[in-house]
Amino acid sequence: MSDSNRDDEVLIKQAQAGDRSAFDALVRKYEQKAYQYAYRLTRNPDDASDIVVEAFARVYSALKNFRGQSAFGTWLYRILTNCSLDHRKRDKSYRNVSLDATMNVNGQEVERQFEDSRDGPDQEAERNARESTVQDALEKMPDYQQAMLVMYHVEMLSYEEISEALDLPIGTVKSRLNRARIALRDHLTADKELFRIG
Amino acid sequence: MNRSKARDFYSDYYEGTLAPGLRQTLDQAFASDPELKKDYEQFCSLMSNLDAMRDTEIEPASFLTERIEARLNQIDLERKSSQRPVFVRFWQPILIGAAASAAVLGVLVALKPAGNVDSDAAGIISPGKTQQQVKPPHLIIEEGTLKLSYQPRVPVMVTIKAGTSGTVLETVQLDSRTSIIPLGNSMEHGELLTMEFSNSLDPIRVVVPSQSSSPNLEGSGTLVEFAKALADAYQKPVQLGMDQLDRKIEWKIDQGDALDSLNDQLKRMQLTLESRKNGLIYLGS
Repeated sequence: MSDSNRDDEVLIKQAQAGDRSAFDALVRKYEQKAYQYAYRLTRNPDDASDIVVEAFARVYSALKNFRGQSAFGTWLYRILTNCSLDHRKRDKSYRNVSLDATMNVNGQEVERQFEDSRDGPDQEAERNARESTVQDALEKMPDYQQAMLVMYHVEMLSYEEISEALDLPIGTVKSRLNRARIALRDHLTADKELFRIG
Repeated sequence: MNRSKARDFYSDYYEGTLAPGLRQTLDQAFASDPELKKDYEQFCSLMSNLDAMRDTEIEPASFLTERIEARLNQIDLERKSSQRPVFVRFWQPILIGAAASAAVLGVLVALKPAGNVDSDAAGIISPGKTQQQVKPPHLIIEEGTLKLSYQPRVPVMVTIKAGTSGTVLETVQLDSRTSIIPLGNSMEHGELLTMEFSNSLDPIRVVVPSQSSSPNLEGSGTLVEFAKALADAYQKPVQLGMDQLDRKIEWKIDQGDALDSLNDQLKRMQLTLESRKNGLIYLGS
């Protein structure tokens, strides 16, 4: 068990015994990471905050039943993912960005076809635009696929941790992640600049 | 190996976890099918782009810590309330004895949504309206009940304490949706309530009159005791506008008289009494 998990175990036991400050310490430790994950899923700061607040509320309410079958952080990811799914169900008006639409890069509207690389593109703007394209396509994916991709590539959870968080066998996680990547890649096939091919 | 089957192995091939035999098969497929190889290269590019997303900094959320704390406090309150029915408590006679370390004041804490507040009159910010000054916390009397009214922009915790000893009765969160705390007193005499705010605004002190009136019309004691006598005599809450509550005073209250006659007594102590439009009596310096 890592030092971090050991620390969490102590705090969890104290919180389960009624020590609110111990739970507050857990919140302080995980709240920014939780927010970043929620933001990656929603791309909206208010929605992300709502999800994080709700997630910690659920964790706090259910803490007495937590038996340590998984790491606290992994459990939190599961709850965050569920809160995000619930939030999406409630909020029907998702951002629906067409892959053909213009994007806002550094305050300016730019088309998705980038400038000819022979003219020396702004590396920063290009990177931002590329990320924006990938992020937009991510948003259009089924919820669990999006959550898995963000967990693995951005939050850097292992397959084992994702398996625990989503309560799926590791083999299922691996195959679904592979399928999610393929699906995302197919979405983005038209964007030659993104893939720097040819 | 067909293209669809090959794609099933892209992630394992990329991560180097493919069994040697399968890896060799895939290598041969890439060598013989340029389109498949291009397909895989695009997959690799996507993997890089996905990994690059973790380098983007995300600005921390405003007030996230405060919001989480307020929500957890609410859960704590709900847990306490579920163990202690407040309405029943409000009407029960209060037992002050050896078992009680302090007088327990029946505080009716029934939170109401902001819609019950006359937001226009109070100048409280409403969604869709141009921004107005948020009115500081203040006391009102509605339907015969004394209430604390405050609609902060961000959640604020209000700690309600009883008596001069400051025994904590309740901690309540007020926010843009929940802005009213009704206050009551089921004891046999008036009692001091102090409301302290987590955003460091000045506390509000008020003596709430008792249900049964047996005022101490003539006596001496601290300003708090005087305020209790006033509250019971006039059956009105008395808001205290000074900090030195333990100053000594002698008083004689004639319930038939207006407060002006009392003011004459208080002048030499540089104190004033005022009967306000909100139905409260204000005792200040």
